[in-house]
Amino acid sequence: MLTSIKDECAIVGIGQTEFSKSSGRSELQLALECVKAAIEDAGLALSDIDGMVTLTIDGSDEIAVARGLGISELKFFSRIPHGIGGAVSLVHQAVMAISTGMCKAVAGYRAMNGSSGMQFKPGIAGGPLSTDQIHWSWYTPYGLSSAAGWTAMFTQRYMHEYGASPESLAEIAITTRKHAANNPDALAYGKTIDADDYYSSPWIVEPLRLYDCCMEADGGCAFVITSAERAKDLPQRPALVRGVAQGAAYDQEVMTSFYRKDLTRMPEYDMVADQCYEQSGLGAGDLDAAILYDAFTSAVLFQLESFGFCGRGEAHDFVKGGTLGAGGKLPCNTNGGQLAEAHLQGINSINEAVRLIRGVSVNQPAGSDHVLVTSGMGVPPSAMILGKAV
Amino acid sequence: MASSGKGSVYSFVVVHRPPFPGYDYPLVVAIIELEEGTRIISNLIGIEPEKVEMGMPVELSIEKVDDELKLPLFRPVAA
Amino acid sequence: MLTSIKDECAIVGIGQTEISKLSGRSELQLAAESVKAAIDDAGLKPGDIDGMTGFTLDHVDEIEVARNVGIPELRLLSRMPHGGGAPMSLIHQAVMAVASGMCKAVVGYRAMNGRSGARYSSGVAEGPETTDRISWGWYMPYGLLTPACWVAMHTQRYMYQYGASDEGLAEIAVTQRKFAANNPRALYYQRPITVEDYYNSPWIVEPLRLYDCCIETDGGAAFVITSTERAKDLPQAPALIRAVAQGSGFDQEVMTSFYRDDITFLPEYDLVARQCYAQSGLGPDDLDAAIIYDAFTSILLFQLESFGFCKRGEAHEWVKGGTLDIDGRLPCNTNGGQLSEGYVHGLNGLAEGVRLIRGASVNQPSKNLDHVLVTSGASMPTSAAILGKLD
Repeated sequence: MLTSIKDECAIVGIGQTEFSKSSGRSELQLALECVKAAIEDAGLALSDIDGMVTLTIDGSDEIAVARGLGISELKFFSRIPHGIGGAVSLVHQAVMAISTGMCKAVAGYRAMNGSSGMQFKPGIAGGPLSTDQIHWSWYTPYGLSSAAGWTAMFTQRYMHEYGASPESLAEIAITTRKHAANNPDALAYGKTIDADDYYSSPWIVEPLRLYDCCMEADGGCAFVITSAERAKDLPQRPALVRGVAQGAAYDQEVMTSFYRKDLTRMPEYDMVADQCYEQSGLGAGDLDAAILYDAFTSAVLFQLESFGFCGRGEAHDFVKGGTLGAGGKLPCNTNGGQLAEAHLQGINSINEAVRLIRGVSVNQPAGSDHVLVTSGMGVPPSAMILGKAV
Repeated sequence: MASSGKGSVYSFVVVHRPPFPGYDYPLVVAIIELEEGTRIISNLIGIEPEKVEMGMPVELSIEKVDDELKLPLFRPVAA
Repeated sequence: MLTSIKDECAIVGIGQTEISKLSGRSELQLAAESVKAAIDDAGLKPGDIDGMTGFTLDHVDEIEVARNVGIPELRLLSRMPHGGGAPMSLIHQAVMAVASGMCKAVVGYRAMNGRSGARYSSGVAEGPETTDRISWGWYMPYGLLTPACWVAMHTQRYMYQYGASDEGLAEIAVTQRKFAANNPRALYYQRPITVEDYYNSPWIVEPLRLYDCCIETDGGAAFVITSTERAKDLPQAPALIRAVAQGSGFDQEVMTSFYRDDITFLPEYDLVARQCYAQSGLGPDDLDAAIIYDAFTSILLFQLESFGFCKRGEAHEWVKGGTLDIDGRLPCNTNGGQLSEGYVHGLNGLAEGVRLIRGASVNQPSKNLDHVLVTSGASMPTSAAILGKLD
């Protein structure tokens, strides 16, 4: 029995396709390309991979990816539900599998034609009757049928209770796009915005504007995890997993937990924060940078508070004055985030965090010893803390 | 338990995009906290979007959407 | 780092709804009932559960079951893919989560209105494009649409290559229905069949007859896993998990791995067997009874060979003469199996495996059962576990 998975495993390889509005190829092809790239980056052979994990909403089965690449046998495979909450959960799965001796090296992936194929923003319709759909049927007749709408509902209440102004959201939108402008992989490469641009961007769902929303994209990302012991013999500087956690809190729905007493916080973030800190023995003061899930700017506020970077209701002030910039107190979403690198449901966040640990981000801050990575908002989320080998 | 249909606005949004057929935009969707303590999500009608406020009292109004569908909507309580 | 999960965890609770052709209630209701029953059986409270795992095919989210049963927080949420291949993968998840310190107690569940709702025998049709569907697109235009079709293809080649008659299949079909006839939960309760009935039953897909096929039913089943240490303080005799493994073989498709050199065996079963024996230090001679996934009679043959109860190509002979009966070498599917108790995607079989360890099956063999093998579905990424008694 292990008491903690701290430093048992490390991310040793990352891979990605280009990010675009129209990939021109199948999601399976994207998955194959990014998984192959991650395995090569790790300096491993295809036959070294004996586990694979992805999201339930990914259309490419692990067995199809394995066949396509020529991986012969898998001793571990699983799927993570609830879409955007799942990216870091893939790491959670891999760490459990490796640290319990079930397999040696796991590839996690998510590849999607989220722009040219099925987009998420048209809202929810069709499909088999699921419990999610039963919940959503209480909201969709009134036109509350998009992720932006659901997120806006929490945001409005937060702004009301804590007197938050749109300035904080503007600051997040502008800073994150500044990072993207410097990142050739980003959809918003070369495109900074200023406060005027932000405030003149159209409403999507008040209080969220166009520039509060992520950019739908085609692309795929993958990572390879193995034991920390084995990582020492591999070419890349390992990103050790100090802590990794999933969470679903009381009265949890998928993006619509509207019946909780307090809508200004997300207790599921508290849960993953507590677990990450308990496993790692670290606290907010030890974290040098963060990749926080930002399908919408306001999501960042909830997370900063749950992870203890500031007090409850204070994040909207905390972010002002360049806090989240590459040279700020907590460099955040240095790749441009989901907002401006690409919305790939958080899987690209893992790759950027690994680059920060390796010291090779295009917006590399000085001294990134510990990097927080989160995924998901409103859904059961996941989070991890990556660290450098001592 | 029967509801009085009276309540107040706990949170709300104003939907602009993407537009779906059958709705008028901008569209106000609110979480209504009912007097009895539970919540219901619905549209606010009979009010301009910019006039909606947190905590404002509202009451139920069953509205006919088409020949087959009626929905429980809410409108501001007359002052 | 653990080198093996052997005996780290135990199944401490099982729960099931009734099995029927018409449950008359939602799949959510079935899931909530079976999960609550499993937690009660374990002597735990909903607040003790901090992880849940299920099937990708399940329509009921774990967070919804949690809300309805009163489980406040979850630290593990996951889904196991590939339908019938998944049941022991749920055990795999739970064991990983508990043994790695992520969770204290994990529930796995499956609930389905498999008869009154969507039926698997109705074939694959609409839905989003997935790689499975792309594979199936090569077979569907020719009417090869159902699991029975796909399994029959492997079976026919096996029978040809090894000169197997259908006598072995008849024996499996008749023996399991004898078990079911004695099991009040079974759909075939008090309805034994004879060999003659077997041969008179209509073809579904040659060489498979009606009585070679599982029944489609409504029902739910669930289990609770916690650490062996904690299990010692709980009311039920724990079913220790000596081993649990997943496996996907070379050139693996879901039920249609037709391009392999040899389709008379399923290498994914070899892979899970190897891992189970390596983890546990046990071999086939140590296994006293088995719950072998039986969506169709013929898939028992592939599994008996992969797990080394007999040699390749011999299972069709090995099963004859009462081998799988209550006093045989390997009492098998003593609940009647999915052929005749009900089809709850293998989790009802797991519950029977636990009852065998507890000594509480309605068809409890008289010999001592130290170890029981439980497997998952054939011709897809699959999984298996070995249950054992507390020493």
